[in-house]
Amino acid sequence: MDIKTYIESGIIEGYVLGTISDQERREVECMSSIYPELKQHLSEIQTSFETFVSRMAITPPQDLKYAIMESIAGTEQDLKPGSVQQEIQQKAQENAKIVQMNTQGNVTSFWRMLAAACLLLLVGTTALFIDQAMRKSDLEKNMAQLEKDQQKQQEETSKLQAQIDQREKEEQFILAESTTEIHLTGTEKNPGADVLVLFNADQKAAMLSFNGLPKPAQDKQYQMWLIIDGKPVDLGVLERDPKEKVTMMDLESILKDSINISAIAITLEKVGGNSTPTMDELFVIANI
Amino acid sequence: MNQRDLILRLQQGDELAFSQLYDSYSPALYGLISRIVQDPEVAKDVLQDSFVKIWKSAPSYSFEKGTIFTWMLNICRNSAIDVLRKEKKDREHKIQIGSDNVYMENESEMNVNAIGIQGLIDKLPEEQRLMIDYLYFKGYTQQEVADELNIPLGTVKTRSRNAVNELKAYFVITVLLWILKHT
Repeated sequence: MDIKTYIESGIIEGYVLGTISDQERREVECMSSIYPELKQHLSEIQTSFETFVSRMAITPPQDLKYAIMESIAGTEQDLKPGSVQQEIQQKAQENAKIVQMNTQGNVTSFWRMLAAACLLLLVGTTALFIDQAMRKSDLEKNMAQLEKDQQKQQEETSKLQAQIDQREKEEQFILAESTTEIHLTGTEKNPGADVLVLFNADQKAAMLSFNGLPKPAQDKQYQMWLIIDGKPVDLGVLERDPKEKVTMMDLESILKDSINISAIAITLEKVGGNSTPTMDELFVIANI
Repeated sequence: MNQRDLILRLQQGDELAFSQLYDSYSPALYGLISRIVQDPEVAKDVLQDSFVKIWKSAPSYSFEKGTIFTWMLNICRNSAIDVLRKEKKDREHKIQIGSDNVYMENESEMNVNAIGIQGLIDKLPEEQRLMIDYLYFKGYTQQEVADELNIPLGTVKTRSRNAVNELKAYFVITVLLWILKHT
């Protein structure tokens, strides 16, 4: 701030003449407390005005003094701004205002507020409770469903596993050295028929491939026989609608001892099988 | 008792100190108030009001604010200008109603003014003297002066500044001369 410019602006003169705003007055007071040149300029002007005013002095009537002295006799001076007393006075005034406000029916509104707050809380709690209850049943439902799903999954998994196991068994069986291939060839009735049987005397199991077997008539079913010591031994009926292309047969029970198997045959019996093979319906046979 | 002690005692509610202050400064202050409001009765009321204000607000005065004389001077001038403005408002109202008193009041006003500024007639160019008159003694704003005299606001500002500086120069010399004379 260029002090010279400030002085030349005429603001100091305005201050003394009373032509500037209150804000500008504060500015001048502040500035002159900072800049001595400003203060000097100001006080010089003020002094000259003091002299000027002194020149036009008029002695006031004496009774005026008595009147004035009487006016101030019981009058309190204003407390100094910033003093402790003034602060106390201000605080008292402020407190009076607050008390006044509070006693103007604010008690009612306080209770109302409290009631409203309680209601809100209650509603809130209830809402929360209901929500939680709902969530619980939802949760339970979900749990049940989850369990079901889990079960299903487990079933499927074990199915799958079983299938895998089966495949592995079959594979093993097929690859086993002691497994022999036996072709059951068709009879006069069925000259083209050819059924492959894999037979393993050690494992006492046989595997049958359905490829060569045409689907039987509604009332018929294939049955498999082993001819042991000249007698036919029932190996069981074959599924009418096999899901798999091959089927394994456990011959453990049949081949208890090393016995002489002379032939394997498949006959076409009625549904459910027969206790003895119907030789007329011999489908395929192989001599071992 | 020196001035400083007087003021401190005044601020503590010492009525004797107040009385002494009144004795010292009331003539100058009464003279100023009279120049502004003109009517003696009104001037007496304004002086009384002013000194009551001085008594009450004495604790808020501090030496940083300047001399106690200037401080009191401002209180008195402000009170007087307020009265003047109120009177002007009433007068304007009267004009609207159509009172006959208007002319007479204007006359006395001019006379007193001439006396008041007479000491300055040969000291300040008239244009500057008018500034002092309107701004200091009549409480006009600079804009009001510009409107009244039909001159630009800038001119008012320049002239009033010059007037104050001229006044200052004059009275500083006067004080110096007085000091020289009395030592």
